Amino acid sequence: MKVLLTDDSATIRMILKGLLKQLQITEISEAQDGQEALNILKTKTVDVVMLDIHMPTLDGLQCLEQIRKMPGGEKMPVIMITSDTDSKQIERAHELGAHAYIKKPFRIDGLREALATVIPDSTNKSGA
Amino acid sequence: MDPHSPDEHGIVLKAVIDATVITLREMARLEVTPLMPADKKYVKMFGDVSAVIGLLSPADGSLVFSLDEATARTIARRILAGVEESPGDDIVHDCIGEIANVIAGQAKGTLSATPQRFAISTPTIVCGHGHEIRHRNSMSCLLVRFSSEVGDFALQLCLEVPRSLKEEPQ
Repeated sequence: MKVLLTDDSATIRMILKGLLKQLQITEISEAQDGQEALNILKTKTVDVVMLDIHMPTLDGLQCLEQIRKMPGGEKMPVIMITSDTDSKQIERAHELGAHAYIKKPFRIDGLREALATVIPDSTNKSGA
Repeated sequence: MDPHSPDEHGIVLKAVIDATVITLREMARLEVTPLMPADKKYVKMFGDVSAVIGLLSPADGSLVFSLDEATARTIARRILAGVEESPGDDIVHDCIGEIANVIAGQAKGTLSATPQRFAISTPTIVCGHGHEIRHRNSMSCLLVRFSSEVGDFALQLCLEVPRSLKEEPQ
C-alpha cells in the first residue's frame, strides 16, 4: 500500500512513518503542506492520503477539496490528522468525503483502524 | 471566556495540566508530576526552548511550554525512539512545538463545551539559553512546574483579565 503523508511538522511525519512501518507499510511519500501533496498526487499513484487539518499555504480541508476535483480524486481514500476535537472541521472533512481521522497523540491501534476503514484488509496487504 | 475570573483561570489550568500529564505519558512514555501552581508575579520562568501557543476567541491568552535544552532533547529522543535516535536541533524544536500543540489541543477538547472554550494558534518556537517569555501586563499569568525523571519543565498560562476584575497594574 502506498501512503502520502502530509503534515507540516517533521516530528509528526517521523512518528507516523514509524507507526506505518510497524504496520509493514513502507511505501510512504511525504509532503509538508497541501500544495506539495497536490503536486505529488499529479505525478505519483498513491492508495491513501493522510492530511493534517492545520497546515500553512494550503490546509488539509482546502487540499481535500482540491483532491476531490482532480481526475480520479473523487474516491481517493483520505485520513485526516488532527490535534484537537474541532467538530466543525471534522464535520467539514466528512462532507468533503474524508473517510476517517486520527487524533494526536497517536496510538497504533487508532492508525490501524483508520487504515482498515479506508482500505479493508489494508494491514494484510501492507508491504506488498 | 466571558466573564473571566480567577476560578475560570484555574479551570483552564487544570485542563492544561491534565492534558500535559496524558500527552507526555502517551507521546514520550514519560510520567510527569505537576507541582503547586504559582502566580507569575512572584515566580520567574526561564527556559532554553519554549513553544508558545495563542489561545483565541472567545479566550485571549497564551500557553507556553518551556524546557532546558537537555530535557527537550531527551523528551524528543523518547518520542522519536525507533525512528530517529539522534534528532538534530530543528527536529527537537519541532517536537517541542508538537507536544505543546497536542497539549493545547487536548485541553481545547476538554473545554470545548464550556464557557472556558478557546481556539488555538499554531505553535511558535523560541530558542536561546535562559530566555523568558513575557506577557502583556493586562494578563493574569499562572506558572506550573512539572517534575520528571528526565528533568523538570514548566508551563505558563496567561489569560486576559476583564477591566472590572483587574487589580493594580503589574
